[in-house]
Amino acid sequence: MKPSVTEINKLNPDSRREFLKNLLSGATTATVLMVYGPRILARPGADTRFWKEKSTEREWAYVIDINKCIGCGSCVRACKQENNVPATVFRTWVERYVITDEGVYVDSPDGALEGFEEVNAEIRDHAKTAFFVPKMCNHCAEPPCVQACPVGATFKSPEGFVLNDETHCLGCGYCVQACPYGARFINPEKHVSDKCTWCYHRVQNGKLPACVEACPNKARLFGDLKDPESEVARIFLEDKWMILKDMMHTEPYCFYIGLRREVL
Amino acid sequence: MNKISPRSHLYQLGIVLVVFFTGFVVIRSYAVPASWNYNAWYRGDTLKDLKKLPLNYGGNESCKSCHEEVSLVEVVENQGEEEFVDEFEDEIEVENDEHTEAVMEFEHKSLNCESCHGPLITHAKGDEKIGDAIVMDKSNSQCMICHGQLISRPVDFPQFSEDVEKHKDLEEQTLCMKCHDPHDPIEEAELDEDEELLGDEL
Repeated sequence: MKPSVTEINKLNPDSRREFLKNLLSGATTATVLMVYGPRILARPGADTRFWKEKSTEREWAYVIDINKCIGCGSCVRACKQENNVPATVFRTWVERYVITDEGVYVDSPDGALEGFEEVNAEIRDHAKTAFFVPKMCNHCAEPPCVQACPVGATFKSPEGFVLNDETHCLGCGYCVQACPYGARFINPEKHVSDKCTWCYHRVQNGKLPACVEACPNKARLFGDLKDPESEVARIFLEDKWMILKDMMHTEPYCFYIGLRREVL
Repeated sequence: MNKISPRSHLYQLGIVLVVFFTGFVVIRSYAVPASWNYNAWYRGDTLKDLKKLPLNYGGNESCKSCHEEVSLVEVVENQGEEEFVDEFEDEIEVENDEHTEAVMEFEHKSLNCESCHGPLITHAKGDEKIGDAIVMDKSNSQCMICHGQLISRPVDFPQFSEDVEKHKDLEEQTLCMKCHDPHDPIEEAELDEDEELLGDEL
């Protein structure tokens, strides 16, 4: 005859208690290991979060004033010559927005390398307002491209520059897709990812980025937020800046003045 | 006949694992750059490599280091002081007096010299001149790239207009530079009555 469950429990009265005890102790051990395990295994002093490494000396910021941009493209040409950027790709470019009563017209012929021609008469007749928006890498505090890079070729430098190591990059293009600002591209000559460096080589040698240097109307500014004398710090005092794609939580360090909602 | 150990499959597995692990360690030591930053996860020497890149653009300060005597910034600062003008008169590289005066007024002072004259790297290496910093494009398109009339430009920015009195009887091919000095466009246009300034020398 088959023994019933009650009979089994009578034969071995501790089995259920034992089982529950083991379950509880197992779960507790697993939880403790999951919480403290990585901390025990980690290298002493190491912190995988790059922003912990951030230098406290300076906080670089870039400011673009839409009201001052004349769309001449001097910045685009200067960037190309400074960084030897191939003709078909752009580290920085200028977009033209024409707000018409029928919608928004946006263009950027050749990234504004040769400036702009006037829009055609049909658009011009319907235009309500129009302006230029220079674009570039936003050097985010929380850069999605750095998260996306599978090999650690793109990274945030201690000074806050988002940079790319072309000797380490595979050219997989994940960062190009990850960037919400379209600021990255695959260099057609080197076949690796390429991007604006805020002219790291110039800034580290005491100069301004080439685009800032070239801008004839001071629409582009670059400076240290921690230096109260700097122009960018003064703009922060006025508190009129805006950022692109705030909802992406990338915390960009390119700040815009006079940005319209059509651009956001 | 040799007796096969009952644990031989474990030994074989052990050997495979040791080979695999050794191979992994060797390949990894080659693949990970020496200066790898384990905290921020990048090759530390990248920063050094980037810092070494050549500076193609020098900025206006670099022009000043050789062309102190015609340094526009300097001239503007000392504007009106006759001594300054006397001191540097002979050194000023610009031939005609009209031009020199125009440089002193200097409406285009916010422009980068290299935007028109080309990047420093094509002109000088250290203190030595390696090429002329001449403006390749002196056509009207060079002016219009900034001053052409566009609806998207700020309204207070000076833009070419045919409504200006002197612009009304212009021929199609008239060079802007015939009346406007590129360093000081407004001043020169007012000075120009007999149309013989820069235009004839181009």
